[in-house]
Amino acid sequence: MSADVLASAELSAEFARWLAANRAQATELSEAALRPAPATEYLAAQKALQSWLYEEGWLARGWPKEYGGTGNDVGLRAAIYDLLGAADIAVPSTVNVVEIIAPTLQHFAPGLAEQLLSPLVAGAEAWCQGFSEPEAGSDLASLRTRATRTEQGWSISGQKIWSTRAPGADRCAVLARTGSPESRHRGLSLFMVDMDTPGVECRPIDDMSFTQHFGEIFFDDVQVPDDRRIGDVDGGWAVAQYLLQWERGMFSWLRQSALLGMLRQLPPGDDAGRGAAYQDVIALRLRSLGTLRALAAGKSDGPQVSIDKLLLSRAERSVHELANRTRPVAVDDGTPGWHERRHEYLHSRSAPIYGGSAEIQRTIIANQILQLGKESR
Amino acid sequence: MIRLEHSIPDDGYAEIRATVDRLFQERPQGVGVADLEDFGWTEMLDDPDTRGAAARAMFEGQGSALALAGTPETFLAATLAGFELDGAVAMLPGPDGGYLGLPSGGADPARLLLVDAASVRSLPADRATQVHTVDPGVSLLSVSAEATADATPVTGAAPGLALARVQVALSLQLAGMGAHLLELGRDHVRTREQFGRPIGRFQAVQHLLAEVAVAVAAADAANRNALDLIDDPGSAPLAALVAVGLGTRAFDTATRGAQQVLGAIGYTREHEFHRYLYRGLVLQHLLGSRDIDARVGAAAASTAVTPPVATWYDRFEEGLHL
Repeated sequence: MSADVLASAELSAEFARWLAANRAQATELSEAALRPAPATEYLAAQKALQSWLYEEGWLARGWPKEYGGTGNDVGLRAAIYDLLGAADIAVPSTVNVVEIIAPTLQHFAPGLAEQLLSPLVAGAEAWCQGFSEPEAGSDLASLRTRATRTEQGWSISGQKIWSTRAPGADRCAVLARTGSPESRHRGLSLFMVDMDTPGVECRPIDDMSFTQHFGEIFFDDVQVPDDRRIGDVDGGWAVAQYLLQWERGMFSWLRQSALLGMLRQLPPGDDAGRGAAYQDVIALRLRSLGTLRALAAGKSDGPQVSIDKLLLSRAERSVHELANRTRPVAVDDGTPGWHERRHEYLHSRSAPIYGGSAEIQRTIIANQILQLGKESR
Repeated sequence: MIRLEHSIPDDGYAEIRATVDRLFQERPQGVGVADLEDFGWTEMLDDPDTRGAAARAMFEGQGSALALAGTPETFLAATLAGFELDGAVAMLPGPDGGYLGLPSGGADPARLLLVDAASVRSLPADRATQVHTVDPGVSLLSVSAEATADATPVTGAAPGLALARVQVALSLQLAGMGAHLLELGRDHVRTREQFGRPIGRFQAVQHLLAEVAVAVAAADAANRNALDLIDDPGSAPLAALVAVGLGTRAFDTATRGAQQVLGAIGYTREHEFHRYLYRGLVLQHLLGSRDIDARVGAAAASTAVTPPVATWYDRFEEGLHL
């Protein structure tokens, strides 16, 4: 199956020339990045690949010059992710966070963006998000981590959980309550907290895919200056909603390229299964490209991205179930890549759960697109 | 209309669709080629800038109106190098090497156009037999493999592109039906009350319709993509197959979801639901939907489906949908 990529003919040709000269290094770093490993080792492998690709220019393109890029261009970034995917080079998962946080900071805290983003874009730093809590998963608006005013700024206390790649992260975008306990989404604010601030403790969570994808973070009277606030006081929900659009939109684009790659690598057979999975990935590819266009033009509509997220979890399931049927992960048959396949399949089972569960996405669609339910306008 | 995209670009769809809806409403007995030419549809098809919106509006509207019209044939005319359609009915490969076609409901056709991946051939209409369908208003024309022996090739036709156009014309109708059923279901659950509230407040009901919305959105994306590629011999065939697949799925999901939320009333002859089910089943049969996944799988092994790069990349600047 040949890959038709988003990149222009010129960009494709330039990439092909670069790849010919750098194939060995790319493959080595890519394989290391895909290898299941404990949290800090895995993170280091992502940063190694990201910083190399940045130095080679590929992950610098399309980011604003203020953050060490060549100029803001969402389409160009999307095109490069596509090229990497078509060449079977992993896009390091740390890039997911850049794509989520950078546009958010640009939009709501441009001063902070200019001050902090360059090392993130370059792969020298890795950041995480602190949103979910043990008692606030799907019902994020009920979160209780508290940010209290101090003379110097804010004191944050509470606990976050299910924070992707938190162990080893340099900074964390923390959603905390600044309003009354009953204020729900109206009393939240977002802060950029340095993970080495006294009072911050982070622990990895062992997960069923034999890795440590998530961490939990404890905040005990953590001092955060007010200039680390992203957006207005009590305006954090709007910031989070914007951030989630990029998360659901760009992450879908990044995944479609990887899923197409998985389909390409499967041995022939089961045309119907392949055809169904292929349609799922192409639906995701086409839909998420439309979302990226809307995001780039500033014309995106949050509830619409719930459609993308559902197409994503569907595509993850159908590709991984097909892969599992073709090369079962249940037993170690001694073929190379079993550990990676095992991890991939097991991790894919979290796709309908993370980033807003499928149930939440359907409810958003029902309430805000179909205008059903009490909250409908 | 329920919006399943970020923003509605001003590509003319709304206006064309309004004209189409009016046309099908005013001419329940059938819309002819003259009607299409009168409002400029055939001209819009000739212009790549307006073709996408024109095709989507026409065929989605046609699906929604359950109208029979010679529109797929008009749409595929551009691939026939000047062949005079003269009321011919496009026929698609059926089981056992034969062909099936859906007549427009107007005058009896004089000719049949046998369209497949390798050829476009012409055959006198008297070779066809009528096949009754689940839809009482519709008989298909059927030609057996033996009866195609004296079919004459249409010189200069582009078979892959012709087939893609007919497939997309039909998958757009399936998508239009799906969108209509989504609205039907949504409107019903907002008004039907049980347990002291509209049943649309219940999560199970909401989630059924949300899945319909997702399936229709996926079909929309595939149809638009196929239209973008409709003149590209390397890409149009697979793009059209993907559109057929996702259109099939959208119709199946929509009929299941709408049927379920409509409950008993949707099961009656009086309710309009069954008319959509019947028509869609017939279109699916015509398209060979039952083995579409395998056909996509086999085709995808060797080709790609996404549009030529420049088209997509350019659209980032315009912020246009797809």
